[in-house]
Amino acid sequence: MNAGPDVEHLISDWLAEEAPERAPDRILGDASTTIERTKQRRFGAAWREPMMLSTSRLVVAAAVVMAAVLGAGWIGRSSAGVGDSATTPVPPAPSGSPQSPSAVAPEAIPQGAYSTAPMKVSDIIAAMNADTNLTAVQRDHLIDVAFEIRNHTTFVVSLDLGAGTWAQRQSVDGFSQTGSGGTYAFFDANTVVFRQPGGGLSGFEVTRTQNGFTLKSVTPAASAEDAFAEKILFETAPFTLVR
Amino acid sequence: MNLAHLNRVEQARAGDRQAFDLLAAAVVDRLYSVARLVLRDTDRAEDAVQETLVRCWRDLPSLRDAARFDAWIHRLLMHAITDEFRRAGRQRAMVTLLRHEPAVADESADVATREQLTRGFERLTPDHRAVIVLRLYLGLSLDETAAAIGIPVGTAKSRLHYAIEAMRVALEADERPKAREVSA
Repeated sequence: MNAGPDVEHLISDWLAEEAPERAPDRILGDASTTIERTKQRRFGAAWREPMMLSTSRLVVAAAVVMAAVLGAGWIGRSSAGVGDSATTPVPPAPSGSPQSPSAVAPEAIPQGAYSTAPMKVSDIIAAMNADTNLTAVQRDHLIDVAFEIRNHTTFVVSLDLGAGTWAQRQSVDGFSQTGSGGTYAFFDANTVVFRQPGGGLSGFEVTRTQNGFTLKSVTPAASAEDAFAEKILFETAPFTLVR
Repeated sequence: MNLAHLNRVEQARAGDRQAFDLLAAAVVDRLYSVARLVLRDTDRAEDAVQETLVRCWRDLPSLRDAARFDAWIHRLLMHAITDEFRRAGRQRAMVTLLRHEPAVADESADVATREQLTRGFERLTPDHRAVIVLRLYLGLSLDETAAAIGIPVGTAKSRLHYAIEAMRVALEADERPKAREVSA
């Protein structure tokens, strides 16, 4: 009789016997070939195919692209003064660059730690299910890998801005989860550009609120999944200064 | 996780391909073993691991805490395995029975047990196979197993209990026909 109290050991020993000792070499080779063509995902940082944009968004997006082309060194050089409107070198705005009518202050976002109010995970998942551009696999990936919210209740996004660097974190039911970060600079009084390691750039139109700001992306995302992630992480809720 | 491994994760997260290649080489055998055990199919296990490595490279910048890399990549692997099952359009993996050739007569009992275990395992759903492999092969804790699959710890515990019971029942059931044959 095999089914005794030691069945776990029996299964464990059997699994060890069954498991292959080595993976075929072609796995690494084939994966490497695909990876050569794969950019690292940095939420909101990648560019997607040309799409329909409003004139104002197109102008700002073009300006951000120009900033990227002019060189990654721009942000690096300016980072010492980022967050300080008196010292931040601001490239000249392109002719006709629109100013958001709701932008109330010409200065940059002050350095500090900002956070959203708790968002309900059920609302995020409902929005995800309503987004017909997302596939089932993308939804699962967002829930389990990008946000890690399955079977949780609340989701909070925080954004720390200081000394030219930014760090975004997400907390799920109070526990800090994954995030992203890099350097940032203000392209103009209403546009912040986040740069991540590897060179990805994301531009956001900034609208100041009484004690914080809201962001609206001006750079297209690489995929529906990236677009949704960017919307939840940066655009859904206002950021409020917490310290 | 040792310091060199941690450094590689951080370098790869910042876009260093060479560091990522070293990282991939360090984990590929483990990933393949798990995929092969759960999927019971060589080709699909290879596909799942390749997909895991590609997703790992693509999404690594989103991993805030490098020390969580192992748990995180297990999660990616479980997703890739689930996708493989979905692709096949069914919840039972294709079966590739491993052939064991008994060398001597007194090993026949072990061979029979292995075959019973194989049959029992292949009757399990992918979810139950996964929890058994993570817990009893990789030796992950229940917390780690739950995190890898993306389920609450209580669910992982009940799945493990069910899966082991199912294996136990399979072992016993496989023995009953023999008993009937003897008594007939």
